Amino acid sequence: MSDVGLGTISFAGEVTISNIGEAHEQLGALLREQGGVVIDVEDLTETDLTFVQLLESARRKASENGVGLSLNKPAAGSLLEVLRRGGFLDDETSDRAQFWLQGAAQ
Amino acid sequence: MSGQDPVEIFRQEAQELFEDIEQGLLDLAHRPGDRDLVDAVFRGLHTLKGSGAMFGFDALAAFTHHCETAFDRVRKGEVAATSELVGAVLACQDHMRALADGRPAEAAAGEALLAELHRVVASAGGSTTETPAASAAADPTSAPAAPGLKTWRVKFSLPADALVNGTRPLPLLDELRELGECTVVAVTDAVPDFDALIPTECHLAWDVTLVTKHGRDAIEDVFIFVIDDMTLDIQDMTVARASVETPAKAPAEIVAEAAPQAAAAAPVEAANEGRAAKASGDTVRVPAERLDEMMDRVGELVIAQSRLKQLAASSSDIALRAVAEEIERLASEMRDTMMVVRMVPIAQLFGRFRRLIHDLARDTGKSITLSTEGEATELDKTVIERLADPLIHLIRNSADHGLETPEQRRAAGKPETGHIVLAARQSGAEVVITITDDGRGVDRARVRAKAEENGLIQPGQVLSDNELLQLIFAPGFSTAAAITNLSGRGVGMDVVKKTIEGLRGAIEITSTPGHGSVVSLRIPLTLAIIDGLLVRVGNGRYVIPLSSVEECVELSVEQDIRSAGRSLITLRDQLVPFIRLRQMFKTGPAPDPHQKIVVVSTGQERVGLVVDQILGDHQTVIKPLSPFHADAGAFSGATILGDGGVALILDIGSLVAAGQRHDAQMRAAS
Repeated sequence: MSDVGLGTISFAGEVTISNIGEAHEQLGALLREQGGVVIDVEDLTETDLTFVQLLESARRKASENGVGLSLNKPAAGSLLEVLRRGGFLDDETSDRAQFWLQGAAQ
Repeated sequence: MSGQDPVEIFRQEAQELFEDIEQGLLDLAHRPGDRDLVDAVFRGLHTLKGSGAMFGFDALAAFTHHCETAFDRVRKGEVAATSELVGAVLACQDHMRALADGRPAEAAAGEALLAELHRVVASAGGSTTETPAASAAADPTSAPAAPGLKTWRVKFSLPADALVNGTRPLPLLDELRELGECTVVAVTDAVPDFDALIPTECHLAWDVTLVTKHGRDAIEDVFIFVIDDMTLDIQDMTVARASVETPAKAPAEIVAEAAPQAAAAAPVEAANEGRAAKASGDTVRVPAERLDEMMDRVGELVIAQSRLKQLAASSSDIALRAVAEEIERLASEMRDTMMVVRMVPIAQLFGRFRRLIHDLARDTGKSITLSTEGEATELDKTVIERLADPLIHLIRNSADHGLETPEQRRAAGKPETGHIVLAARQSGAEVVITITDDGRGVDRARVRAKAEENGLIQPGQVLSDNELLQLIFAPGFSTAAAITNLSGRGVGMDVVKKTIEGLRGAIEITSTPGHGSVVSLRIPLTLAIIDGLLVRVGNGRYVIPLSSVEECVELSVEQDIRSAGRSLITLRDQLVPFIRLRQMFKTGPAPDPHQKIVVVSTGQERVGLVVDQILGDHQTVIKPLSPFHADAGAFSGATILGDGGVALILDIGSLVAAGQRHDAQMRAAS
């Protein structure tokens, strides 16, 4: 599913409720160890609300701990679809929408 | 024990939904203005669609969506619930059943049904395009200005285990969007700290602003599956704006106030009593095969208990006897409880026939009403399942052959609408089911002609009226000439009779020319375990179903001699024929000097069975006879006794019929 690198974690294939626990552990380890974390979602093919919820929680933790957290590229594909349907992109100027879209149009 | 397959659970629920929808539709055909019925049908279709989608029945969900849309328009008063519309949705429902059952359903057939549905909707007052709500959603700028639109603030959160339990919030949001212009804001304030987060739990909440023509009901319907467990707050912002002068809080603020307390929030406003009852665990859905397995175990327990009882009886050990008695009591109670568990109201069966009558009326051009009585009468579930086909055939017969056309009825001075009554009542250990029609009655001359033509009787042969009517059940009576596309279906009444007898039941018919016919079925309550009277005839032991036993009398040698071979005794001034089972079964040496007569009956007919000894009552676990012995007419099954021996169970219907024949011969001879 993932491949933890220095400051970078890649989520590939399907990351859903069935394997979100693993994603939680790996991302948690990286947030504790690194001063900045980039989340690679390029090869993510399938995801759901648990992934979005996880990253929203991670975003808050990173902010509290002064750790940089960002996506390697704007959300697209399945992830964008979940964000759009789930109401996470309501205001494109919000921090949340900036995090997910990086200023890209929906 | 393994968990039940979720797909199978869905199919079971879908069957119930189909039945509810069908009943609602059929009622609606008679009461097209009944709003509750329209709502009930809509709700059923909506649930079916959502549930189907949840369990991966996408084709079913997509197809059902069209019917739901049609009913949504009925609900909004845009389309009338005409009988044509009801018929179109009923036809669609058959397609949905096929999709739910996983049966191959042709896409072209589905498309044809939908095309017909759209045509009917259009002719019933609606257009075939998408609903106004969908149009409003597609053109948000026009929505707020349009008359009749309301703004709703919908805030909701789901229980933490919702995702694990299969609830999918995104389709809920999609459905809200289908209702009108929608702004959805996810609220993450209640999401726990990263290290405390259990990532499979749902801690998200949503705040939705919806501009729609739909009312509160439509919004609540979106949450129909989860409404009992979730937190849902629906506010009419149109009203709020008018009454509150202070500026509305931002959506996130409002939800932030409510979301952290989501788990402990107040109950949902629109909790439905029916759903609440279901959720409270009052009933448990159990697969039928598990009940069958339990019944088998209880049967084995009863046999083992019988063996224990026999051992205890021959023992002087008081403690053993006490335990044997206790086990006997418990086994008996267990058996009774098991019986009750397997009992289901016959309404389940009767409900199906309303659709049948609806289709028959359409196909024959006749006007037919169906009344049912005694729907609360309960029968063993196995019996109910096996009764369905014979009853379908009998009802088809009544509608097709029995009832006249409206013109014929008018000419006969009858109301144009024919009436079929399906009734059930319990009578002892039996249930009596009658199918009564007010049609033309059985045409005796036609029956006789057909029977002569088929060689069942000789030309000119003298028959009583009852014997003539019984010919209807004779194998070979139903011929191609008598079969119509409705009632025949290649099955004759002989098959119906055989099926009923296979249930240890009996079938009778009475008919009055010009006034109609009554077919009566007498069916035992259960097929699994019965109370029996164990008797000995020669060296063999037999079980007589206790429900058929009227009384036992002694047949002294003197009486036997007095009867002078006529096999008749007088009981309270009535002659009762008796059968010497010893002769019939050709068993044992000389009879006992003090033989007994067990008087048995089915309905009004009585016959005595002469036995050597009455051994006592016996809880009888019925085992079917092997196929080699299936034709042994005098026996309906066998049972295993406490000592490991086998006793045959007497088929009282056959024996009474034999007694009647014997009685008739004696009368003819005298």
